[in-house]
Amino acid sequence: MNCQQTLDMLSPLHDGELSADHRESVEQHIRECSSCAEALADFKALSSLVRDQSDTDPPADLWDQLESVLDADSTCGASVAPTGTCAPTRTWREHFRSSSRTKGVVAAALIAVFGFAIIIHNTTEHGHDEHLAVNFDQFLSEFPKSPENAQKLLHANYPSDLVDVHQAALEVKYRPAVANALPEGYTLDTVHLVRMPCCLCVEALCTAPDGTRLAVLEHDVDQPVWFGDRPTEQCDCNGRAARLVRFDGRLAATWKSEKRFLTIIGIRDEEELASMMQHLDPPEA
Amino acid sequence: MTDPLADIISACQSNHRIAQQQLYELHHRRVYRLCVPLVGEQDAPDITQQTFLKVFRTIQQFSGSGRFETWLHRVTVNECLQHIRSRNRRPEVALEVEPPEGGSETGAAVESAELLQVALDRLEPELRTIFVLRELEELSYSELAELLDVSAGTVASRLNRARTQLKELLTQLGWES
Repeated sequence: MNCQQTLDMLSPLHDGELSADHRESVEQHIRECSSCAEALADFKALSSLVRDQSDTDPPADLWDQLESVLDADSTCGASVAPTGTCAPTRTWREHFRSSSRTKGVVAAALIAVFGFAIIIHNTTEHGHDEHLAVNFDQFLSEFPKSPENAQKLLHANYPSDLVDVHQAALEVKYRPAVANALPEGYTLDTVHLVRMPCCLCVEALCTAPDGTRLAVLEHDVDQPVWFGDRPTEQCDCNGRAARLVRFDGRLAATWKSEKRFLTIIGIRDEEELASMMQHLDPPEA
Repeated sequence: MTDPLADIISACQSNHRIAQQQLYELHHRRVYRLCVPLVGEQDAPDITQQTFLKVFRTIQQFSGSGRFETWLHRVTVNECLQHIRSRNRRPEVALEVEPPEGGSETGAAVESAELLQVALDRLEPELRTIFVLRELEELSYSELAELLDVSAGTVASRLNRARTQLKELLTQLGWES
């Protein structure tokens, strides 16, 4: 057994995860090699360090804050289905840092950003389209490999904020589609507000029962440019028109909701699309 | 004999507030203790709260076929990683810790806890997570593999990388083992 082989098994040795045979060989090497023995001693010291620092208690009033949020949930009538009138979920620290002054600064900043964005939009619309196509092409290419990395790419190009559906509803002034119940077994993992050139977009990551991830984007304006030159297909999904794009064995689809557009990325097939459409955007009664 | 935890979980699935408080009392220290090294002491209360909100909002999906603690670990880790990624996108002034000058009193002035947190913050989130789960929760390699959806071999190599890199980071910060 040489040093590299020993170092590769150092964590399993330290954690008691080596078989008896391997343990004997590794320990034999360590008895004869001061360098590997020192590496093992470092691992033991790290364990002591982290375990010694782990006895802090959480704030005593954390449950009270949590309960107030749960109460707000109950008032809203559903665990993840807020209405536009419900207060946003506020975390422990946010109870202490919210102020009207902050809101004023944020509002002024938003006005400034939007004002500037309108001017830029009018002068460089074509450039935006090119950037959008490139950015979304990267997003779609990355999504099947790592939805998180794809999301990271998107957020690197467009300012975004992690929110919950309550906060999203208050910001965009409508009830996001992802506030509706998802099909059974699906979970809503994250919701972001992404400041796209077209609009403030609600972007959500969901997990399907088989563990695959889906992105749902809700936007004010149709965005065929997102799919660049990829071939599109028209699909009649239970009597509703959707535009489909195939990529890496998955589907992306866009359809018009009542007042906005919904785009879903990463679906398996048309059947899953129909199910998601039915839940996210149920037809008017 | 009925399992008291199963009863509490079942009541939580009906949004029973007393049961929610019981579940919180049983597990919030463990969740907080994981959050501190993963996201830092400043953000740990927020993330502990977010974790329990997620637990109560999604507990209907907990089928009871696996251990509740494993499910709770997964929710906690997901909330922490989500927070770390979100925080990493925001421009922040990096916290600078001056390495102590050799043999001076400076080394003693910087607490080990602070050094550890700075070093952990500089470790890749995936390495930080596996190291903290192993050290604090003492999860076996097979439990870590299941929780993180990787092979046992990957668990071993990630733990090796985590420990080696953490030791290097701490040494750069002036820590002496």
